[in-house]
Amino acid sequence: MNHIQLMKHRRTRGVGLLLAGLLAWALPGRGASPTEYEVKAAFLFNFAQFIEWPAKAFASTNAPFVIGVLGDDPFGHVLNQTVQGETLNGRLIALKHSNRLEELTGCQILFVSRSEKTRLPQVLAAIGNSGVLTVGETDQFLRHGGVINFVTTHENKVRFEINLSAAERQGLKLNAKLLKVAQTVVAPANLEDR
Amino acid sequence: MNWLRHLTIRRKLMLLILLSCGTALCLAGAAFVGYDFWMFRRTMIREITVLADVLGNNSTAALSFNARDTAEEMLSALRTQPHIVTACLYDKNGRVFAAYARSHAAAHIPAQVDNRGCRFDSNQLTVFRPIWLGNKQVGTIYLESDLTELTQRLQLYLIMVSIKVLLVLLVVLGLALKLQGFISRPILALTATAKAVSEHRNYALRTQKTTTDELGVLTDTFNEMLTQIQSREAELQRAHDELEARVAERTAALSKANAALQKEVGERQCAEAGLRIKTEELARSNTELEQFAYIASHDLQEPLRMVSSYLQLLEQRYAGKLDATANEFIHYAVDGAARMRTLVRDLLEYSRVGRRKQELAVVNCRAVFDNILLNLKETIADTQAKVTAGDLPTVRADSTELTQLFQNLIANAIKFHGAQPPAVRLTADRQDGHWHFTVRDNGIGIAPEFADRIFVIFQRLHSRSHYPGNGLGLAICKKIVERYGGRIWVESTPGQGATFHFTLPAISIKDHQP
Repeated sequence: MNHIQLMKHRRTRGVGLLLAGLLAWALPGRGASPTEYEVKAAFLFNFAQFIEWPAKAFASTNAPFVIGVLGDDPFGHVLNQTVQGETLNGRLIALKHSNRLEELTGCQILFVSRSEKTRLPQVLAAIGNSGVLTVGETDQFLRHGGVINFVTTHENKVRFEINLSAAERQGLKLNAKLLKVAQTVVAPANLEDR
Repeated sequence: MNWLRHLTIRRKLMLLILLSCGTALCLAGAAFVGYDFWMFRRTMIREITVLADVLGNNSTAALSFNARDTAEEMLSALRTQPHIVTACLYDKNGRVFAAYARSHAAAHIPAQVDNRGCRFDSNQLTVFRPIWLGNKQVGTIYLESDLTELTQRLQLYLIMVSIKVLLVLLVVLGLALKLQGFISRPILALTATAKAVSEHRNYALRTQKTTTDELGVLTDTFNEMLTQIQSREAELQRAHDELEARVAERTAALSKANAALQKEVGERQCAEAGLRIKTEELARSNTELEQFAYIASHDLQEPLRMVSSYLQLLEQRYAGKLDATANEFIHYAVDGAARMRTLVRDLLEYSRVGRRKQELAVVNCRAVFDNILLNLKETIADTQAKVTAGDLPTVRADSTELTQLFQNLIANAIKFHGAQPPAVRLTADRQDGHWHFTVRDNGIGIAPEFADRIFVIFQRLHSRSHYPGNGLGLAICKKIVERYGGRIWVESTPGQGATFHFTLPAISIKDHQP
């Protein structure tokens, strides 16, 4: 793929970064910087645009695209605002929130809140390979079989890492562009190393 | 364009072909370059749009997940596209997300997103393309390309087209050199023939016909014309030859006549020469005769004087001592001697005319006339003659001879008078170049048949008993007049007097003023 080749040219990255920094400094931001969960909400919706779900993930051809939040809801109304009026491949977007995994069946994206840190293995095991994109925000999320995990850099920026093996297990096709922007892409072998 | 008229037909044809081809080639070349330029611009637009779209599509994830470093890394891949000067990604809010510049100096990143699409400026091509993710615009990409490639391509094309045009023109030149001959060769051949005909007047020349077009017709017509001229020329030559033959004939006849004339002239010259010799002989014998007369008369004087002297002595001493017969004889002898003396003196006088080596002087005829009146005073008185003169000129002559001339004529006029006393008049009038003198009298006159005889020496018309004289007077007059180149003649009717005419040359003004 062309863009993969493009990415290999890192020699002049410094110049671009410098320019971008200068511009960011010169151009005042529009209002306050978005909060951590505003960014995470947008990312959740954006993931859907770079990932292809298997047909078995949906109950019917016109079933809505469901985003579920397990555990304490850190988004509040932010996630609702983000997906308001949006569609994905002609499907309406529905939001579900519960502390119980049983109530969140049929989700295409399942956000596992930090509150569920302790019972991650059980949760992820329970989800199985039913075509669900699991997104977490804890260190061990990928190790336990989660697909995408949010990380916060020391610059206080939200990035994410991807477990490619878990994605394959779920039958999800991840767009290469998504892999490009991920902070880390791990395969099962890599996981063992960590 | 006047110089164009002085070109040869070959040059004109060449120029025509080269100009036409050159113009066509240049126009075609310009059209080609123009079309290519336009096409290349379109291609550039398409390529930059495609590039922008590809870049935009590849940066959707970066834009979606705020991965600025990924976007910048992607943009930096534009290093492989050296014509891209600047590139910039804007997020969905129109803020600069990531930027790229080929070099710091060239960096010019528009602060605002502009939805005008592609735009050509004087030295750059810029494009703004929206970036779509699904049906949502997630950002905008901006690319700026310089036109070096376009300019270089244009220059290259111009050079190539120029070389092509030149090469084709060279080929055309070669072709034209060969092909113009089809038209120019017959014309040049015609011109050469026409020139040769006009220079050498050789109407037998013909032009080779090489084509069947209008030039061929022209050649045929020209040759036909030459044939006509040739036949006419031949006729003219024939007529000319005939004329010349006739002229030669006439010339021969004329030269024959001329030769005859020459011969006659020669004969005449011969005769003239003979005549001249005769005349010279005559003149010599005449001179000798005059010499003889002079010597004779001169030498006769001496014995005659002796005879005359002794006869006079005899007459004086023996007067009355001899008988009457003797006296009568002596008287006859004295008388004879006296007449002989007169005769000898007159003869000497006659032969002296023209012998005196005196210089001629300007002589007043009036003075001469007055002198004559004095000389003839007694005779005039005796005969009661009336001698007059009109206005008389001055002439160049020997005064003695002039006196002799006038006196002889006047004395003659008095001598041969009739019943009434003599009236003599001397006049002179000027005629061209000479003076015409007349001596008119009222004497007995002379019969016309004797008009010439009276001027001959010793010729007398009357016996001495009627009119004394020895027949020398008028002969002397004639000799004097002729010595001055004049003429003397007489007009007379017997019984009605006579008029003697003579001419003397007039003197010029120069002589008049000594």
